[in-house]
Amino acid sequence: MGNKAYDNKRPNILLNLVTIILWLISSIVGFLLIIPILNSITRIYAAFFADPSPIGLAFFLGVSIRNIALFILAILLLIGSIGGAEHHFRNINTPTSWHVMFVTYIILFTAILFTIHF
Amino acid sequence: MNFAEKLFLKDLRLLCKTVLTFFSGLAILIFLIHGLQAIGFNYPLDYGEGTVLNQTLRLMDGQPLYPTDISSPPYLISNYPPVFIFLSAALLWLTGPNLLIGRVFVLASTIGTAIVIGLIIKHFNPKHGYLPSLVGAGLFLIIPHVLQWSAYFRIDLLAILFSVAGLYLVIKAPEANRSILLAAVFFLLAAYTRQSFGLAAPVAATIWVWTKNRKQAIKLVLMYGITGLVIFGVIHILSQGGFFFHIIEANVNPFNWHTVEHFAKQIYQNLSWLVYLFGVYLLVGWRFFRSYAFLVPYMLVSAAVAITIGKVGSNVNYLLEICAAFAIFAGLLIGKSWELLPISDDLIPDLDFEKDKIPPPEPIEPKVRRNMWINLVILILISAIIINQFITLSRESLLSPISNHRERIQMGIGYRLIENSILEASLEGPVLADEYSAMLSVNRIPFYIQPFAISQLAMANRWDQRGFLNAIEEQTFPLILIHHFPGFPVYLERWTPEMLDAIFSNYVANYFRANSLSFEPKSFEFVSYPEERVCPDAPWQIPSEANLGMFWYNRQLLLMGAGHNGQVPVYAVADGMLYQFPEWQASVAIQHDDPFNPGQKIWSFYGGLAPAFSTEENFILDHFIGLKEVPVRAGDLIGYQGQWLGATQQTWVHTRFAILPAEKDGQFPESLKPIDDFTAQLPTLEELTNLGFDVPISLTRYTGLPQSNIFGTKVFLPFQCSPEGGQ
Repeated sequence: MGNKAYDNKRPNILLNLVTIILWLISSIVGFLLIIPILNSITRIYAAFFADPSPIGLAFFLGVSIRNIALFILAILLLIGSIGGAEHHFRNINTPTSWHVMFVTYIILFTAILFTIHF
Repeated sequence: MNFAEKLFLKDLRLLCKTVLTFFSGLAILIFLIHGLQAIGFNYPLDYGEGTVLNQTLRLMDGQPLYPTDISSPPYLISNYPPVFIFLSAALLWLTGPNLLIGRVFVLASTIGTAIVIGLIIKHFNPKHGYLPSLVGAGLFLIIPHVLQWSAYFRIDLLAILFSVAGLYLVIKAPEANRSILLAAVFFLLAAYTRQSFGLAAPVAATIWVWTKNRKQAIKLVLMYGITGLVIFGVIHILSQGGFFFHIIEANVNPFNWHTVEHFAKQIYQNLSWLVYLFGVYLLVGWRFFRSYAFLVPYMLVSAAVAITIGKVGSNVNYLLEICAAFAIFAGLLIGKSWELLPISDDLIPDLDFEKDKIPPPEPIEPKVRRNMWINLVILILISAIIINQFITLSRESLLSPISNHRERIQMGIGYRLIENSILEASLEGPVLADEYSAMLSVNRIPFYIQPFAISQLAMANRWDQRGFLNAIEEQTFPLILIHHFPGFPVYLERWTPEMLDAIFSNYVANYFRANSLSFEPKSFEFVSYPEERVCPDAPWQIPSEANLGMFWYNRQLLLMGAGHNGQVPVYAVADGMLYQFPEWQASVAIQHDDPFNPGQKIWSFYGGLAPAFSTEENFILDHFIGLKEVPVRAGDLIGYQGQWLGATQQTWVHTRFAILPAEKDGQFPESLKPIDDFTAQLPTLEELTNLGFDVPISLTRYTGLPQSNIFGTKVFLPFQCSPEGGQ
């Protein structure tokens, strides 16, 4: 294609900055979503198994599920955040970088919807 | 069109797809957890499970399903055709009587129905991947009515599986003879699983085929109609007329339009967006949707069939077909909104970018560009609506059927105790049960009566209940289980007033376990029972009848009468002055001369005289409301039992009765005024003693009714007189 603006690989500072800011926001939002997601999982669990007894099996199972979910979410956040940073760093301002950014925000948006409604 | 615009056009679609997939997946997960939870529960979740299991076992034992003579015991009605019963018999023949296999069968049928719904949607959207099908299937499974019914060993979900399978076959290949033949077979199976499922799908299928090939449509009608009538005739002859009586005549119950209105509102509340969109579809859908010719008749006939939910005793199973229609509609909607305005593939710009190179702008026709954005906006709007539906339905399922089943499952030990009492009592004679009748079948104890169906016949004067009433009066049954739901007195539909009168006269509810009352024969020799609300030797009357037993809670007695809200009268226990304090919403109190302490005053308290959650129209007689020092005589009517416990709680129809001390000047103690609210913190006995009151007061001494020393938890007491009354 003849359009040089799309052919050359000159770093675009503004777009690089936008990428960094978006990545930073996604990591922070992802971190802040962990507790609301755990709360939503607990609420769904409670609908099935809640037991008024504070020392009943249901309580301890609920706590276990919450702890396991916390572990999984923490791992996912680390993978998403560090892996995302690595990916954006290597592919900054390329279609794949913007697509990954879009997917990241799609996941966060889905998680926000989930936590708001459950 | 530059890269940014392409990215948004492509990835906003991905957004819709991802969110829809997530909420569909969540819905399916919720459905599966609920299903597994129900399968793992060994005891009945619904009245109808007992009936179906009993019919299955009778078939296995070679007994007639549709007996012509029901004038002598066992008094049984088989409301449904035999297909499900036959298939269940085949399964239970391998495993013996249990609820597990039946529930697995029903859960599998529900999942099968969802899969067929997905296939129907896929047929109309072959190019749009799995998503529309997933949406339709997921939506079907998470509709609270479907989710609730999928947990029960009942016939309906197999019937709907057969009917949608037939529908799918003719939709897929309307002109093929094989499809028409197989569809007719499936429709027959559906109709002979549950008669009401023999209408909507066959009508929709016929109209669909008619639009493709009229000859094939006529073939379908003839095959289905003629074979159906022949099968009916054969079973009718073989059962000597019993089949017609059981599945048609015995099904004609009284009709209640309020029930129709109630469930129509439920459908509207749960599926409001889809209802609106279907209205639009009805008007203009023929222009955009190929599915119009089958979906409109399917929806409309399903809705017409659903109206029969107004029959007394009907439940949400009458709504399953309309739920399937809405699920199909949702999937088709998503499929169509993927590309509402058609754009030629040649004109669409390339949205598959190279990974590492921002593509240069690409020329595009303005019309194509505009249509691409219109399609995207429509997809986002429709996706938002469907996501909203998923969220609404998932929350409703979690709040209602799932929580209800959880509470039912949590009554744990109660079931074991009931089962043990059934086993012990069955050694002495026939046991009667309603909600938990499946426990009889599981333990191979034959039914003596199917209370609901037979009672409905008796109430319609089509069954002579005198023989059965005599058996009750002769105390033939060592145990009668009557279920008492806190929210609604269903037992009034399951037993005739005459049966209940006979039971209350000759039996007493000795236990209340897992919301079921265990009535055992009265022991007139050793125990005295209230007569005309009076116990022997007690100075005061009993304020209200409590044929369904009593709960003792924190020195108050909840007397549970038999009847609807506002029907069971509450009377003054003795002469006195009635007060309805301004801060009280559902209670009155009467100041009496203390029969045991001459010259002193004492109070009787009557609470719960209002419907649940509302005191605007309470059940206290108008001429007492807000007044004080109104003279009343013993036995004067003061109001009616209600379900009110406080602003946020309800319970069984009851009145809450207590005898309370008076202040030194005879006035009602200020510290006890919050008693109007059941949940209020009242002073303890120790605190009352410190305040100078002469407590505790024996309720037994004044009324003859039993009481308990237990504090802080509800204790069930039978409605009988205590030997210590009046002493």
